[in-house]
Amino acid sequence: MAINLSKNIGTSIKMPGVRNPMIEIVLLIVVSALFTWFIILPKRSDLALKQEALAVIKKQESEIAGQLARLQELVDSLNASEKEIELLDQSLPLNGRITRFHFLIEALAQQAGVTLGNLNVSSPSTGPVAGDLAALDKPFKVDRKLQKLSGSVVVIGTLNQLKGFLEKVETSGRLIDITDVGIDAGTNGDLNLRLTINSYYFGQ
Amino acid sequence: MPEINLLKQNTSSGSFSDSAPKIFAWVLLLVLICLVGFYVWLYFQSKSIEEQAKTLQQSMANKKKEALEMEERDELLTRQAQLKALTGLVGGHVYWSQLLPEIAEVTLKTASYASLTAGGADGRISLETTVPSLVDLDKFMQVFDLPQFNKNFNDIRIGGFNKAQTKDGSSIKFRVDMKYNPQIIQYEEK
Repeated sequence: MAINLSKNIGTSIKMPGVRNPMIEIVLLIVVSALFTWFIILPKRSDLALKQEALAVIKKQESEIAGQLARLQELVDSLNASEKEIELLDQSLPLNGRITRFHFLIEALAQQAGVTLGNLNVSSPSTGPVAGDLAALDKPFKVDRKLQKLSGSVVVIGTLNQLKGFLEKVETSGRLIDITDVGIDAGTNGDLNLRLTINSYYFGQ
Repeated sequence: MPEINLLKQNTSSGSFSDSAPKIFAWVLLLVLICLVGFYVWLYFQSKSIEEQAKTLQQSMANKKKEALEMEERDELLTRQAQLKALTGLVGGHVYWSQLLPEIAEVTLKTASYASLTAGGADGRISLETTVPSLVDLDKFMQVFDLPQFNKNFNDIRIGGFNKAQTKDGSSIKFRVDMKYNPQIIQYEEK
């Protein structure tokens, strides 16, 4: 009797409570839905955002790589252009020393056969013209900008000589802009050529 | 016999309706396992993307550093700025020597110039001129009414008119002020 009772109790407790498939189905549906809604979907949108961010980073990295390659190309080109750089430095020197400009005008006057009557050049820059240790150490590290030398030149000669001098100034390797021209009669049949000029350098 | 058959049919139908929810439960369990698997995949994918982003950012930082520390970079930037400045200046460079032959072109043989002044922003030339007579002065001015001559010089103004008497005869001195075509002092390829 006791044995039978316990068998009956065991049967009645075991099966319907724990193994009821309908409860399992409901539980599984609920768990799946909650898991999807609260865990998978946020994670998926987070992943999508990360993928977008990664695409942006990849693009940036590719751009930087391209820029670095371009920089390297330019450096190679710079290293291979010594002659052009020489011409560039001649046209627009990095140094604004006025003495060099005087030498140039004197040389041009001599080549054209005119007499240099007067040469007056000044620079508005207050930067050092010599003994600049920072510029001497790292000439390309200093902050440079376009600077102007302004002045006037008077030369004396015949009309052809003056024309020759004018052409030499205009086509000089160093850029010299003539802003005003004046020609008047001098002594002994010569003419005076008066020029107002600007020249430039790329310095401090 | 018919009773037995009826009993058999009832039994088989009952066993299917019993096992269907179980099968469905198994399917749902499988779906849940798949969802967990998907989550695990998402997790590792996310980690992998984070790693990739970290690597790329490091690579970008290295490349930037490499570019900044490149020895010739400062020279390159200076040269670029220098060249840019020069290009701008060359564009505005003028050739006054080209003006003289053009003036000679429009000048009468009997006229002579004592002085010439040109320049400034207004693009005008001033000439101190001498001609032998008023007839020559009239011819001098007429030249600029002709289209082939006034394309480069126009808006002629006469000032400081003065008739001088010398032992060789008389002469007319005057100042001519005129506008020139700025193109004649621009660079022309020969």
